[in-house]
Amino acid sequence: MDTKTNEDVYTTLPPTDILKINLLNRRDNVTSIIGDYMQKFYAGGSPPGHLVLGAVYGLLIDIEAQLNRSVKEEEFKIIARLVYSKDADDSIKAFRKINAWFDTIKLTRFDTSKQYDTSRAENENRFKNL
Amino acid sequence: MKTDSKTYKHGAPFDKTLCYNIIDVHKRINIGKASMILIDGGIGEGKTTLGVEVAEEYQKAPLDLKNQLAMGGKEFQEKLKICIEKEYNVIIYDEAGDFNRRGSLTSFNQDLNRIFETYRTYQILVILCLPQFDILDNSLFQKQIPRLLLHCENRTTRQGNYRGYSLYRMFYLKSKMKKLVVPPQAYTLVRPNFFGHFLNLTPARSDELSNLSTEGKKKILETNIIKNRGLMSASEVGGKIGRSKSWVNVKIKKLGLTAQHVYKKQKYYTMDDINIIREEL
Repeated sequence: MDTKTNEDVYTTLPPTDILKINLLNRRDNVTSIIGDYMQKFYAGGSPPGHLVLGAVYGLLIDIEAQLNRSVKEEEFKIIARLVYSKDADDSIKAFRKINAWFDTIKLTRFDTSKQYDTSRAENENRFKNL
Repeated sequence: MKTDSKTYKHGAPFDKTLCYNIIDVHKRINIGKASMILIDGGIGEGKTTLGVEVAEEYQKAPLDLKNQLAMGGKEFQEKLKICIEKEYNVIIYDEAGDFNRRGSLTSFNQDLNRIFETYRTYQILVILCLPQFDILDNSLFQKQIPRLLLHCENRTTRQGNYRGYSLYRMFYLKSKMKKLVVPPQAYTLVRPNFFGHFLNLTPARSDELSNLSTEGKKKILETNIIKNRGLMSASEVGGKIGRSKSWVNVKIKKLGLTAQHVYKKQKYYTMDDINIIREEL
């Protein structure tokens, strides 16, 4: 008698989730590299910026298509110019803009509580299922 | 904003935020849901004044104080009927402390509970004015009928002040009041949804309200005096001894008893008279 079992059944994440996780890992990597760079900078040294340049460049390649679709053309051109300028400080500026875009698309947002106007009592009642 | 006029610039005698909240209550009533606004605070803090102002803002017309302002539960039931007949959309139940938790098993409370369960079909807003909202019967809160609480405080000669709480925050207030030695401190511990001021009524309107209010309070005082002296009307005697009012009246006439007190054409008799009537059973 054939019986169905859970063997050979695989569970997997959808591709979009895998991409998001990879993106967050890459962003985390860029943040660490920038952190190290700034540490050395504040310690009085003049650290090489190639690691920062490379990390931000790689991140931009990952998100280029989506960023081009999401933001205005001028904004995208500014970010691209900053990344391709071969200057570490410009790369950091570009990364900050990319980070802000991550927040607007809610990729990095962690304050996920629903916003409602608390000065309207009925709004609050409804939100709290009363 | 300091002003001697009846209203602020936006046309209401209180802050705009309260106007928006009244609109929200209006929308809820229009879709057939029961809604109530509670106004509480110490004596003389302007509860009735604010109640009248909120009611007039709600119905966008002056209130018919004679029919839309009720003192106590009995009057409220009578005037609610009148409001339904006249198609008024708001009524104020002043001195609502008689509808309290402690009377939960009384027929009076049960009648009022029934009214509050069913009045939504008439699309009337009820505004309850009372000293402290947490004395209200819990069934009201369980049914989610009160939607907004306005707590009045620190009234001056020019204006009063209020804090507005949603039903959600009312539950927190109730919880805090149970634990505190000084329950009114709960209002300072639970953050209100909004604050505001309200202006006094015009002198003419204030006098009109004062006369009605005095009349109502006189009635309450008079009935309390009667109760304290242990006096009873013929119908109350009948209820006590299990006989009809007409039977009691016949016996009173037969025995030649005279009323100890007359109030509003109602005769009241002493306990001695009642015992004499009881012997006739």
